[in-house]
Amino acid sequence: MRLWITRGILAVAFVLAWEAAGLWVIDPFFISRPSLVAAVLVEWTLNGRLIHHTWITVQEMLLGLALGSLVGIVVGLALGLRPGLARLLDPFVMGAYALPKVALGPLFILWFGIGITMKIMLSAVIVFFLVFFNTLAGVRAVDRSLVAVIRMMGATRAQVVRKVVIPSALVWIFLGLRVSVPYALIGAVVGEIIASNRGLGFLLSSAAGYLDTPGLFAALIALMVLAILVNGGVDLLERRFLKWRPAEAAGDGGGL
Amino acid sequence: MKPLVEVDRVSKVFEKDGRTVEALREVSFDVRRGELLALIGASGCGKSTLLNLMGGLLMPSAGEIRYDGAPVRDVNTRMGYITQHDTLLPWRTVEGNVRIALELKGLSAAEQAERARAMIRRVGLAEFERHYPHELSGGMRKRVGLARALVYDPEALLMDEPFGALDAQLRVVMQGELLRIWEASGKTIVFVTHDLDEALVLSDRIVVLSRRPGRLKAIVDVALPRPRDINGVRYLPEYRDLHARLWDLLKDDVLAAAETDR
Repeated sequence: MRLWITRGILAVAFVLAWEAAGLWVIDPFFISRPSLVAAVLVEWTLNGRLIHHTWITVQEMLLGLALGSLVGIVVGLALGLRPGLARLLDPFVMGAYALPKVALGPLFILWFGIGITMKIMLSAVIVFFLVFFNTLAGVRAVDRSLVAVIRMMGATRAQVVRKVVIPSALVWIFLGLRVSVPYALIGAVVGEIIASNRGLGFLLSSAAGYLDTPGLFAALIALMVLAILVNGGVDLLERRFLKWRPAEAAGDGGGL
Repeated sequence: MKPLVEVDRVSKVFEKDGRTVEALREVSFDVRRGELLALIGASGCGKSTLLNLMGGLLMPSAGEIRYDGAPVRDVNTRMGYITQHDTLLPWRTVEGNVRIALELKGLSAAEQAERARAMIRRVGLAEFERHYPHELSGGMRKRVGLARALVYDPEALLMDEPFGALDAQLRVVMQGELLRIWEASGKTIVFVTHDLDEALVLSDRIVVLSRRPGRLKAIVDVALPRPRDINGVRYLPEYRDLHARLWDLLKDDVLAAAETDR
């Protein structure tokens, strides 16, 4: 409780310092002022712009996340269960991983146009690698003695995968998902900054285009709030699915 | 009557980083139906390897293991396996862990639940059905492991140092429970231990292996009365004689193993 009071004081002090700096020290053209930013946020909220553009970005992020993680989990499981194939493909996978995914933006515009699909794909490609590598590591980390015991009970290969490999890799998969949530947002926003007419990234770049610093900061704050909300959602899901874990260990995963 | 398991001149060699390690050399012995057989030997003598071979999780480099007359060529699903470290599925509750074998066999949900619950009661954990493994003590987890191995009624059990991780008092309690369950079920049990007293208190016969490469050193008959009183039996003169004999068999290997460990 005291911690929160101190944090609250810090936040108020920061906002006041920013306001003061914008008034007397630094040209508000560069750093704007919290009061101006707040005014923009109120205006965007009232005229529906905020909700409209946020919703676009949320859609791109969620669909990118869903697509990327689905494919990541499936491919991760497939390669994890076939070590020979994984070894064969390793240099190709690493090559594709080494490429900065943002550089695919122009190609994706060519393929998918400047609509929402391009942002989904960009976000999905980034998420794919994060979830894929974690799923692969998770499958490789499965305790072999668990598998041995289950096999002695007469489990088929499919049953071993369903009853042991997947649940045991779930911890890793969740770690991958949780790490990729902010990256999914990055994919969507970068996609919007490259080319778009909708979304928070578009608000950001159009505000910059009009040299509208309060608008820029307003878009940044909206992004930050969105990211916090999404991370909170992942926390809730994680707690629901991994409730079998000891409390400390569950906390560790959250720290990454 | 034909033995349940025949270990016939079994050798096992492992390849590791280009080096070969000979774990077992020409080991032969039988496991009789319904007996409690202990495997002992200094650390690194291939006891656990031998269990894995009997379970069909590993294949011998030479020789053969026959189960009920037929060579073991794949995982032997007629034997239950209790490993040294508990291998409960941490994401499943006690009940979920115990019922997994029944689930794999495709029994109806009602039958799974009924049989799992009966077995959990038998090992004295009725109040902990809904708990996850990390919420249980080491002894309770061992009991869940035992219940899980017994619930689907395999013909035989392989146990790898089943009570190794427990403190001395709890070990005695668990040994007593194992004896009680064994006497009631008449199952064949093969267990590995490094504890002479555990071997003597529980088993009908003791297979003694030498240091690596593990070779058969002796098979000792444990002619102690059944049903056995775990605490009382230790004070019988026969017990002391057997203990002395086993220690003589093991002494050099144990000291040598201690030397290389240092």
